[in-house]
Amino acid sequence: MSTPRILLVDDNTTNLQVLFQALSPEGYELLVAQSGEQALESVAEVLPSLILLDVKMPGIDGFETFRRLRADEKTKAIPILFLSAHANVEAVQEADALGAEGYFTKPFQFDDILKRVRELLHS
Amino acid sequence: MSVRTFFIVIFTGFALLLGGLVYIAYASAQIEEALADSEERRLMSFQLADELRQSSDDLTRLARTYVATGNPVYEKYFHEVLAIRGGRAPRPENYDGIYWDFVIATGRKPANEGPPVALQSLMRKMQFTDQEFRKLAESEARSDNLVLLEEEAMNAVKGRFPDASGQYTIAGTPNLELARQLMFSQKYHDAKADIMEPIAEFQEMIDQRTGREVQNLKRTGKGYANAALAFAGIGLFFTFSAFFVFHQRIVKPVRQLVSAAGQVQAGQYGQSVDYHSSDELGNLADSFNHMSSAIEKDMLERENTHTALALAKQSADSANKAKSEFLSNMSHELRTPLNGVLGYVQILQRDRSLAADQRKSLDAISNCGEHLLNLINDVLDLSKIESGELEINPAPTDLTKLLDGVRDIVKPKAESKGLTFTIKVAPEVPGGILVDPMKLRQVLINLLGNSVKFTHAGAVTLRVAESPKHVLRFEVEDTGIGIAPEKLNAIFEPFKQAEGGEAEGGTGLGLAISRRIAEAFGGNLTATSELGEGSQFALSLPLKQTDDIKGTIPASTASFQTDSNVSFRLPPSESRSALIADDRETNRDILNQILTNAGFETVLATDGDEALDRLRERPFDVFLCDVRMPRMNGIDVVKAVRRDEQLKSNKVIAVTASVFPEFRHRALEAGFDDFLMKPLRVSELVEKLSSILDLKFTTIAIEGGKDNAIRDIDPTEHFENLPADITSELAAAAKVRNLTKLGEIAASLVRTEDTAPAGQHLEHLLAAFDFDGLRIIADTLEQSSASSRDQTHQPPA
Repeated sequence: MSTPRILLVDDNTTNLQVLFQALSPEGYELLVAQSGEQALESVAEVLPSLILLDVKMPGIDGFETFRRLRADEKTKAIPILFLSAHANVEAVQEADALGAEGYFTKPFQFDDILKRVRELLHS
Repeated sequence: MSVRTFFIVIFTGFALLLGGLVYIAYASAQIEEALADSEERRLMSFQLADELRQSSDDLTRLARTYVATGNPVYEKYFHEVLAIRGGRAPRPENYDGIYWDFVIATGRKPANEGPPVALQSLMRKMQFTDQEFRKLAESEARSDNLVLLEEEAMNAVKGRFPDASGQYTIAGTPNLELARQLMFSQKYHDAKADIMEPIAEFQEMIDQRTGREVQNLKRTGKGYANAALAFAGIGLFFTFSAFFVFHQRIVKPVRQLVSAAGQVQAGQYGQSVDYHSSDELGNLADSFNHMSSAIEKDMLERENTHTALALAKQSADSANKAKSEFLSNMSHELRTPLNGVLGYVQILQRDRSLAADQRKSLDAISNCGEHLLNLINDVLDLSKIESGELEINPAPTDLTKLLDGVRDIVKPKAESKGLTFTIKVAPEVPGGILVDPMKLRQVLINLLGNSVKFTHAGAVTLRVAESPKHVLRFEVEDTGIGIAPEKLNAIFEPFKQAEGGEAEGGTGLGLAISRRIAEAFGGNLTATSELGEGSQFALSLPLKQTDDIKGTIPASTASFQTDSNVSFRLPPSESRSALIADDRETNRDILNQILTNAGFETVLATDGDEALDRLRERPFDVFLCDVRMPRMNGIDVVKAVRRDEQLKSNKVIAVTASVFPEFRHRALEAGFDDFLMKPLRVSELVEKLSSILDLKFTTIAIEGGKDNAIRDIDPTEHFENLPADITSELAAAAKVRNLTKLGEIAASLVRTEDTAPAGQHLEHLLAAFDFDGLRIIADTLEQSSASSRDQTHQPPA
């Protein structure tokens, strides 16, 4: 089985750096995107095994990116975990309603994210 | 009865009264006329009777004179009298009693003659009663009978005598005797008396009749006079009644309404009019009462609303104040732990043994901390602005120096991105202006910082001009990415920065704050831009010129310097001591480490009391004193120091997280020599210590600062001669930003000498998460792999 490939999407470079640092030791192949548009372009090139997707981004936001990915036959099966600085109930509910595999609020508890990532990739 | 009916009745009544009076006046006038007529008729009647008697007398006189004289002229006159009386000859105009006396005496007649009118017709015209007429006619007939006798006498004078038929056909000798006998006979006298008798009776009758008429008329007149009196009485009564009713029904309620309305107008609401009636004024009074109570209700509601509003405002004000206090406290509370974070970062950054990746992590922490600090500052600024606490402190300012300070900060940033930065000041702009230099500087640096941030190639320009007159205009122009016109207003709203701004370290509050500062200056801040065409920001301020710029406040640049890569030391030959007082261990520790590393001998104190104890034990070259401490705060400590003869020569620097300008004032007034802001910045510490201790520190720049020189190399150069397989692999990985793959490629490139520079460059880009740099590499590689494919497909020569 090849190395699982994870796409990290966040417009904030620091957040990307933090995620990258946290996931690197796990041996995953890590791709990054700084916007919904970049994420969609990237997915069109190479399919990731999992996507960590920031909700609040300029341009196409996380929810919209999610909808587009799920609307596409090729990408609809990719598990997606939302990341957000908003801990408000509405956002969590929307993520739930959309059918995301998880929703994590910033600042992250890496152990929780890693645990969920492992579950999804090894199932 | 309605007022309308009332008026109709009154006016109809007056009209009838007036009509009655007019009629009475007319009838009275008629009666007067009738009386006059009656009198005139009586007179005329007497005249006619008199004329009859007169003519009879004239005939007698003329007949007798003829009989006596035989002069035929008398006979002629005799017949003329008869002809005039019978209407056969013209009637002289003044046919009065002496007419014939005059004719007989003078022998000539007056010339004026009227038409012939018989006495009988005149009588008929007088409208006598039958009885009266008969009397006159009887008298005339008797007079005519007498004429027969007189004619007989006059014919006897001429010798003519009547026959059996009475015609004078018998001629004889004139018989004067007979004529005289006839004219003076008893028979003649009797006949004469017979003529007078009916006349007297006629006059009596006329007298009686006209008397009766006059009496009747007078009675009627008196009736009219009484009627007029009665009318006047009724009129008077009517007038009084109308006045009374008018007063009760109209004047009184109107006066009540007027007075009540006046009171309402004067602000005494809720007046009511005590007048009840079914008429119009009753309705008006009812309406007024309703209106008045409605107004009172409204006013009461308004008053309540007013009170509620005032209360709401009060509570809003206090909420706002609480918000400001909360923000100020929160700002303080946030700064304290941030001080710990940034302080230790600065300590760690000076550790030369750190590996490059560790240094990167530290840089990241430092950047995040700086960003957080900017956010805290900006939020505090904005909240102060929004609660109206923005203080503008205009001072005489040297504009040239201020712009120099701005240039010192913006130019390095611009040049590190390869941008040209110029400041162009128009010749008419005065050197000295009255302005708040810190605020102006803040706005300019914000605008220029934005331009540099969003411009990737080209130039950023600041133009200063007086345009129009008495307005100082600062224009910041760039050749950057520009802003879509529909977003031009949004950028001035908090947290609405352009895409990518956050990644560049912006808080999204800079423009909101800048615009509000511009407004507080009495000026404005506007933007014009087109997407992809660059942007222009224009700050206009009222220009207040001043020549007094000797004591200008230097626009400090300290807070904008990032100096994590600077370390400092005391000169080798010098030694200095420092007392550090702070209740928080982190803060004490940071200052302690920094100062110890710099070569200071340090002593620590955990509160004000302890610090004073330490000071009493020995003097220090500098005393760094936290302001907010339990038991004895910094202000009290410094006051105690200044009061104490032994201690007062110590140099004391306040260390505070408070950002309020009034605090600075208080601190200096309390006796501090200077103050340092938390979070601490090494450069600021160096600056303050240098000036207080009057010595120059040795500063050492630490290597490995972020982004050093990476952008200076043409990035594509290293990648031009890589093997084709690596090139395509690299291109694919760079395109999707596969950092893991790129890291592996970089590691393998570094291992080979030829490709090591490319590998190192790649490692740098990856470490810095420089995606723009990666994109440039990806584009270059794509082009070169495309061209190498073209070469491969060329047929062999």
